[in-house]
Amino acid sequence: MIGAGTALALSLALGAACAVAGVGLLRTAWLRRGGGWRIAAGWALIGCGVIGWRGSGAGWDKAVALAALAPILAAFALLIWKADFTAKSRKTRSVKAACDAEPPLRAGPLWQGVARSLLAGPVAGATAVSLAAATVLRAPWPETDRLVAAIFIAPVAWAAAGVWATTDACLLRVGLVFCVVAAGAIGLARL
Amino acid sequence: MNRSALTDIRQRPSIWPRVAPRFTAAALSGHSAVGLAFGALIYLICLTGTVSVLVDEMKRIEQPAPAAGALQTGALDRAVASVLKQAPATATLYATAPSTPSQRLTVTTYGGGEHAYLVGADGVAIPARTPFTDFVTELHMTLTAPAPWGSLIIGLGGAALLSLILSGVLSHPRVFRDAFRLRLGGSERLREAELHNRLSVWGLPFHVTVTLTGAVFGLANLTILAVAALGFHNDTARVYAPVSGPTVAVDPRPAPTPDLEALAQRALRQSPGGRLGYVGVERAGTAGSRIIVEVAAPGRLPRGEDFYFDSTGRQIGRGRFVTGSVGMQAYSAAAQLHFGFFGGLPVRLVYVALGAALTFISASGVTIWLARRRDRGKPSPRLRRAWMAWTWGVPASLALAALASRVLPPEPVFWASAGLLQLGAQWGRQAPDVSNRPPRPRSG
Repeated sequence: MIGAGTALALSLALGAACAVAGVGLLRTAWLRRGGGWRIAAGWALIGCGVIGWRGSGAGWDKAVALAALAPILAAFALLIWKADFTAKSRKTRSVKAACDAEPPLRAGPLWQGVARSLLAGPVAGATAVSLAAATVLRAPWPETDRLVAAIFIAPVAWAAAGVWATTDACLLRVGLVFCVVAAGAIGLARL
Repeated sequence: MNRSALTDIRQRPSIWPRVAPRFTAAALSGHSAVGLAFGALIYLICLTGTVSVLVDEMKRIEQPAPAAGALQTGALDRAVASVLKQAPATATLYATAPSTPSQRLTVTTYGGGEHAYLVGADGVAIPARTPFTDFVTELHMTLTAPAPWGSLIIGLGGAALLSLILSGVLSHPRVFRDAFRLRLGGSERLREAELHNRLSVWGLPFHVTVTLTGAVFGLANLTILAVAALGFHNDTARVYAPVSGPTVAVDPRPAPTPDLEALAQRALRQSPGGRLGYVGVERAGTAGSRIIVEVAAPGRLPRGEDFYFDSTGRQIGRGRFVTGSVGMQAYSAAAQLHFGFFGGLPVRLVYVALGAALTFISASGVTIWLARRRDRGKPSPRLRRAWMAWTWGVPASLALAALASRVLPPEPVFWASAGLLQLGAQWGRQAPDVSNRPPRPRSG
């Protein structure tokens, strides 16, 4: 029979150990290329960390949050421990080449920049908020869930729409889709 | 590892999907554009958010008295009575119970402005004097701009950061492949790029969580306004109704505040294992007042379950934020997740570390872009100076505002200091912007 304090310590240790072992396995797989079972085992161990945190008295939701934080710390520690401080190594030169290959900002006439900014900002925002409004008013869920889903949908949809507006070369297509989606959502909301 | 083993590894198929170079180039261009447009705002939000995680500790440093301690019997009612006597114009008040041994009961009143009071274990309330902590948290939530514009700008910054996270993943196909390689031996630019990418990829769950919840807080008003306009004849209270609990009809006749500790005990009995979160009194001192008792659930992510009472002490409802639907629980958990309030000081310290990493990522993104531009033979010295003055000037100005907060209000000190540092950076003598290699000849 073990005491409550020992059980708590063991649970915390299990949560932390799962995170460290999982990240370690992922590292091995990443560096070896094609380490299928190691990847699966690494993620499984990180997932098992939830059980450890759950044993420490946390509910499932809190255990998941803690199990998501622990591997970040483990990975940061591993990265710093294994960091390559060698100046001008072959690997560093390859990184440099990759950085040089990065393109400059998209060049184009001023109107395109203005149009892209308007699409990624107010137009994408209006589309996202319209989608959120349609969710609150028409989604087939309980009212509370609809409201909460909507206030989460608005920023996610705005961000995704913003990425598309700043990435797609064809502004007309972006604008048309935003207008159609916003009009559809507003129409649905006002039905 | 011998040569044949290495060759064997190189010949294995990669576990990573191939991404079209044109797509990644377009995504990177968008990533850079959004980063440049919102970089300064995002940096300020991240830095002040990181500092704000330690709000309790900062308040204790700014105002050590009254000392923290377990509340004596009757302390809650004495504190509320004392505050109502000191602030007779109070319409609504919230008495937040300590959740750790180092916290004190805090009473915040609304009506005739917002005022906060700290309460000792005996129930004696004194006005809170924590100007720097108040300023930093306000800067993080509203930029100290008037409502609703401040929170809307913060919400825009949150949506922009969310978009940067998404475009960052799309535009760096090697970011996961190289997740375990950290090369710090090259030039400053390459070191910054390595740290930017590694901290970004491993901090991804944290970044998405705090950014999404922050953007939700900032943009909630805009969403609610749109919903109210489209479906509820501009009645925002109707939109909030599912999460705001039962209503009590307004009745301005004077009435005594019920025994709050007794109500708290009744709520605690209905939520075993919980502890008192806060007690709220709306339309205080009237027959139409509504009392909210929140019972925190320490083992759970949502903040707590709400119990509603009228001015006679009759229970009129229960807000099932812990035991209700997924939506109710997510609504209540958002703030806990955003500020790291769900796991005590250890989790908040982790949040400080990860928040500092996110602040570095937001600063280094622009720095890398400027360095790349310089290495291409198109330096932007004025922009670089402005950026350096911002990234170093904001923490320096915050430190100055903190030091001066005993004698001067922090807000003008901070903005004046940050502004002067910008002016100094543009007009003062600057060290030359030295490239690591000769610039490429410019075409045309």
